[in-house]
Amino acid sequence: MREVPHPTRAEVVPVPGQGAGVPGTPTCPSFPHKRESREGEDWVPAFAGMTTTIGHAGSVNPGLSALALLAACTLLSACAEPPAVTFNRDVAPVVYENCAPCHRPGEVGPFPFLTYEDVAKRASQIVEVTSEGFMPPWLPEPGPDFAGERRLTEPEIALFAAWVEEGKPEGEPEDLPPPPQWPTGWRLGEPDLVVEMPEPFVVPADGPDVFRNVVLPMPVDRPRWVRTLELRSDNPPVVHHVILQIDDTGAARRRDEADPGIGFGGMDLSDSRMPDGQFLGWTPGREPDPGIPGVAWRLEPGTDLTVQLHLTPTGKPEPVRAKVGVFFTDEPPTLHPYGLMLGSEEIDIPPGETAYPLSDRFVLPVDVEVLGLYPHAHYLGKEIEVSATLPDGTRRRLLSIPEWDFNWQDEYRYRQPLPLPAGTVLAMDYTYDNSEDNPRNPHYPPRRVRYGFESADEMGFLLLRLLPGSPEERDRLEVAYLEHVLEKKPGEWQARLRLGRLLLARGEVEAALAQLERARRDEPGDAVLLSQLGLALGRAGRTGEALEVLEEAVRLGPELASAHTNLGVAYHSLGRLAEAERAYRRALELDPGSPEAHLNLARIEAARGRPEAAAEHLRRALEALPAGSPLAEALSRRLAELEASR
Amino acid sequence: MSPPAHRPLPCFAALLLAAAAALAGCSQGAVELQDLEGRPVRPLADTEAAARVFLFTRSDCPISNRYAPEVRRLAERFAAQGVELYLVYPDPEEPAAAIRSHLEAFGYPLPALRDPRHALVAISGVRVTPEAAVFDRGGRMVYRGRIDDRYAGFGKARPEPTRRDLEEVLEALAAGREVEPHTTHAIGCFIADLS
Repeated sequence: MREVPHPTRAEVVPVPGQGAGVPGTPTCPSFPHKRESREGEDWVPAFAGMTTTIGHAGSVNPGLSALALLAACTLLSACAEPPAVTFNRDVAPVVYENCAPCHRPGEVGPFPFLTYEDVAKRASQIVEVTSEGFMPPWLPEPGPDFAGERRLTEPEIALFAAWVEEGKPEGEPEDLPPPPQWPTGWRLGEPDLVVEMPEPFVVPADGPDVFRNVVLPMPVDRPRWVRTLELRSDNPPVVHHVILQIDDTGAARRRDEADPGIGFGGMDLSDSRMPDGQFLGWTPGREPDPGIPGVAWRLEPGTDLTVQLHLTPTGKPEPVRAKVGVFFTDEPPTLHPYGLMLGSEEIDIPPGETAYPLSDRFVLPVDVEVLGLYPHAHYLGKEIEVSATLPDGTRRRLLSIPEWDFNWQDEYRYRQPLPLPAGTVLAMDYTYDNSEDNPRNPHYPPRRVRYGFESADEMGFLLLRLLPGSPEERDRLEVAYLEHVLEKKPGEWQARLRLGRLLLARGEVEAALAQLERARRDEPGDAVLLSQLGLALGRAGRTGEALEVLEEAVRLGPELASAHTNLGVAYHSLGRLAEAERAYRRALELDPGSPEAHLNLARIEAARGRPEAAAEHLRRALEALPAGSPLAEALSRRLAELEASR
Repeated sequence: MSPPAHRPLPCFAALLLAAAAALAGCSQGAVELQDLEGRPVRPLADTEAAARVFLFTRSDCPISNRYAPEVRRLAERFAAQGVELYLVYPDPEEPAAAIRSHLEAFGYPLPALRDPRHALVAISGVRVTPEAAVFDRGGRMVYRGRIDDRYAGFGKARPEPTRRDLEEVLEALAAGREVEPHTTHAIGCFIADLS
């Protein structure tokens, strides 16, 4: 045997008479049963890290323990000193603050840290995981001032070790601070809307972590502004983290229907999107995001919430049911953060590679404030570095994670927004470890790994939540960002479509046309793209071509209300009012609330000298517009004029 | 008596005590644990079994619990091949009722023993839960360590084990082959905190 089988620990004093057995048979050393320490008891100082008490009332030989104590005391000088570190006075406050929020019933921790017993029976394990930095879980290096940072100071870490070394004394009862009170129920108050999984998903007992996507319809009858979300589940130890997105195309719902059981599996949620570029996530132990005053995202009727749950098997089947509390505001947003996504899909990691690099750079075209960052990689991710180099050459570290751990991914929000001037170069530099030395490697032996959504593939992106100074600057930021995307992926026609649409909205008609015509060469048969191109051609005065393109749009996409509206606009500008009206009404059949169709019909009706009909269309248009938006204001004024003129 | 000191016992004194214990001529066949009814059990007494496997566990150890399906698979595979498997609970604060609930919740078909005095812990030298100690027919410990290498450390789980150390040992013993005694480093909740 390479190790001595008999006990080498000598924290035990063999006590005669202990242990049953045939009289005369030598008994093996054993630990007498530990019980609560009490003042005045006979103690035998113990070997470091082990418990100290020996004492079974009635079975201890008092002479032997006193002798041992005397022996110990003669070897040590300060026998009568009170303990330097006690649980009640010193350790409990640190535990309540840093550990108990997750390590308590109803939270993700698999065991509680609320009482002396809870902590004492895991004390040396606590020393190990805190000195390794595994707990509390927080991946970034110190430096940036992130909200909700979970970190123990060096003295706090040393405190646990010192306490264990002293034998884990409990201390004076009056020193124990009152245990913290945590709110039950929704932390952000009563939600305006709660959407819930209709039935639980059962995580299997065994196997790797599970990703399950559930689709929750959001029943709103008109567009609403969402301030924030709060997620709760009925089986917190199983839920490792959650990502929430929205889907207004129905694609997620179709995938759900195709998959037996509630939701569908896998990590691929590419057909969902982050609303207004906002990352919605949930990680354990953090207070839900109350939102930022002035910030809200638009929720249209017919939108589903797609909730991707990252679930950890526990050894027995675990049912999980999650619900989401939605908090609305009636105030339209005054601030419009932009979600800028750096990253690359050019990932091709050979097996055995230990530091495969992946980088991206972006130059800010406008001043911004950085609200937060969400880095993302899968199991091979190793180092995450994000920096900003200002125009004057100063380099600031925004985020540094020396050892990425997919299981503890998180969104990092600055306590105070970080201002960065126009001209700043944002840099993302990641590395990946596809060797055997990476225990989290999904493949053994390691294999070639490429870009993909599933956990055995790799990704590398960084979502930065930026706050530009004005809507115009936001648009400029988006234009620059889309140009950056198209530089990397020139064939990405959807990005080109977005860019075209944006340029058109900014009045840059020629630039918009250039993008939309190029997009059409890449993707000739898309009705949405053709509809937008037709609109742009119309604005450029190329009305004949506009009509041709829009007629094709409507042919390819007969259910696309906006194509009919745009076709109507083309007819309208050519003076072909009857055809225009027919197109607008077709649009309304497909989308009864369409403000654009109503607005244009209002114009036709007004031109016909029918103010009541015009006013009615304006009212319908206003219903669909968020209150307080510039267009709504303009329409309200027009409506007032019309009504006054009657 | 004034509040006692809490200082570690100096090394040399500790070693003396260890030597004393060793010289006491301890016989491991006499090591006693308890079954869930509180009756004494001598798990290392002479046996006909090809192997005896003691899996140390706790009801509140997430790593141990995550191994439950694997333990059940091993039990099913080796039960009819002369291998005796036991779950051993070293937490003295864990009563029999809690252990019974635990066995049921995780579907363990194995007999459970309590080791509140850490007698078997001491003999085998296990440090964490889950950790296995395997004794051959002659009562010699031939393996102590992890069930497999699924965990490289806390929070560092492989998607699948690359080495199933315990299973390899049991395969050999069940087939009547010699196993060279060896240990592996197990990851889990520390037993030392429990006494």
